[in-house]
Amino acid sequence: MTDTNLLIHKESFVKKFVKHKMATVAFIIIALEVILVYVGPLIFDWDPYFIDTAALGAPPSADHILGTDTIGRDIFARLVYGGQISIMVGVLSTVVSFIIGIPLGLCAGYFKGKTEILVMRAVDIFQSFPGMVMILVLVAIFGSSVLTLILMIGVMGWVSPAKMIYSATLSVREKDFVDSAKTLGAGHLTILVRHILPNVVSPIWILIAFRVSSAMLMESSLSFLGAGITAPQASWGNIINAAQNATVLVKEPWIWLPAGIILFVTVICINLIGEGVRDALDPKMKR
Amino acid sequence: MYVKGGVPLPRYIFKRILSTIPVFLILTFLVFVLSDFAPGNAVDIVASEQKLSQEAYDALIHQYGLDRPLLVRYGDWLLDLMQGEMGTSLRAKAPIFDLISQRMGPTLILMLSGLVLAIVIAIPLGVAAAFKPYSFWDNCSSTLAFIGNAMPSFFLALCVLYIFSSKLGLLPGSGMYSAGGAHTFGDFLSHLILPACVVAFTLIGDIVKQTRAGLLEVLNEDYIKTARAKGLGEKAVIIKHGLRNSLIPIITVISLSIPYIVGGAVVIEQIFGWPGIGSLMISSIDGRDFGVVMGVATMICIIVMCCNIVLDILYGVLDPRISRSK
Repeated sequence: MTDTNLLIHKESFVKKFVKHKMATVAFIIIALEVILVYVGPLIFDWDPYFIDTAALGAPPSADHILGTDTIGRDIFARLVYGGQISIMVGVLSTVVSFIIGIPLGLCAGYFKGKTEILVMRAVDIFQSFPGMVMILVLVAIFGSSVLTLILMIGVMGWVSPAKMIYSATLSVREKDFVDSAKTLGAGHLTILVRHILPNVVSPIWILIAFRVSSAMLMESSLSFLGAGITAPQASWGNIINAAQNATVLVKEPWIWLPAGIILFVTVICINLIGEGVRDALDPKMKR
Repeated sequence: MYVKGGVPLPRYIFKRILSTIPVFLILTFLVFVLSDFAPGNAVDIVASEQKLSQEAYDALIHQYGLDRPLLVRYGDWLLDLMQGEMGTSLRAKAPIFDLISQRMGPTLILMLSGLVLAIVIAIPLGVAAAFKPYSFWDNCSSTLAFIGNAMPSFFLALCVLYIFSSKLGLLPGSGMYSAGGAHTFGDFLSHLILPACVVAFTLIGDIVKQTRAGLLEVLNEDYIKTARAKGLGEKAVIIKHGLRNSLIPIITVISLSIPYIVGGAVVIEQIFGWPGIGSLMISSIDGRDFGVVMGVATMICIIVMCCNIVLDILYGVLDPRISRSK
């Protein structure tokens, strides 16, 4: 495939993606959100740790546009910094899932035999136990930090990329070009990386968005339970954690409502992007 | 039931149960290894209460058998588990098994009612969607499915608590019975509604999608054309011939979602103060009571496996080809 071909291919992908109007809107929302969350703090002076003792649990006002939490920290600033962590955990743990899942799926589908049995058994085990409970146990023993959280959520998420790659590899390994590569004396590694991987990788693009959104949901649930990102660091989940207190839940909804809405909207938008990518790459899979 | 030339159903069931044993052993071994890392074993507790010399400490370690190899201790632990012996909770000073078994009922009721509610709502929605693809109903149900997938269950729980319990005062939002009141069934039901709805809502999306997709696929099969050609009404075709044959993928979706129900129940129990094993787990994590945490994890393992076995048996009953082929 020459460079110009690749360019045409890419252009048509963008054109197809833009046809999915909801996905395009979702993409713009997420892009704006990412800019606000990562670039905003560089320009403006938002401090998520500053405690305004004159405004404890204050409703939205000119000083604090979304109000303050029970100990006087600005909700808007915490949402921005919380967004940095939530998005980062979502994206990086997806990377971890793929780093584990893709090679395992490839090997299981290509080598078959014992490797296949081993990997598929591991898939069964991971599928039959709630990842959330496993992470709770791990956090209870080892504690949690941003890094360990990324690793744990990533490890718990390897099954779906592995299964996807596995089934794609099963059909690709029977193709003629794999046989001819073998006849020409190519090693297993060359065949896997140069010949099979490029042909099985497209479903992975579709999976990325859905993995990121479910990782973000997992992180926020854990942080909500106090087993994920912990104070003073902010995440959307641990901002909502304050609502476990009945007074905050009923009397101070500005503390928890915006974080929940932003999390919900973000997950919806990421899933919509996923649908857009799926429709653009594979029109057959459309609903 | 004996199918000629095939495996009888009881043997199929027996085989299914046998095949989950390795998974159970691996998972419980993992949990056991993890619990070995947990700070504060039985001897450390004694040591913290009274000053022990190094010799006395070592002697106690030996007496409790903590110096034996990991695998031997795992075997003992497994034998104890089978006799309902899980050790003693450090906080509650009560047998862990009793603590957990008191909490099992509420969790199972919550999970089951949420699951049943989801099935009762989702399957008709999916059928309606498949009945007329791309119609108004189809769009409604797929939008609902989409929202159900994206809604964080804990945020939904807080919202319904805020709206229905605090603002409207319609339903109680905490516990399983009203404090101080008589334990009546009506009181129990009113406490169950909100958490069960939240459990159900998170599941509806996937079941609707699978019902719709499965039904649409089946409706292209030859036997459906035959049924139509016989002059059967469209409703009879879809429900009698279509739905029955698309139940298998629906059951697959349900069985894959069981770990999510259990994981989600932990959060939902915590928010609604539901006295199940999920909220027990969270309070034990907060209290650093690792014995109970491990006990709950093991119990969750057992629940998920039992559910999977039941669903696998359902497969076999629904589709004789599956039980016969193995």
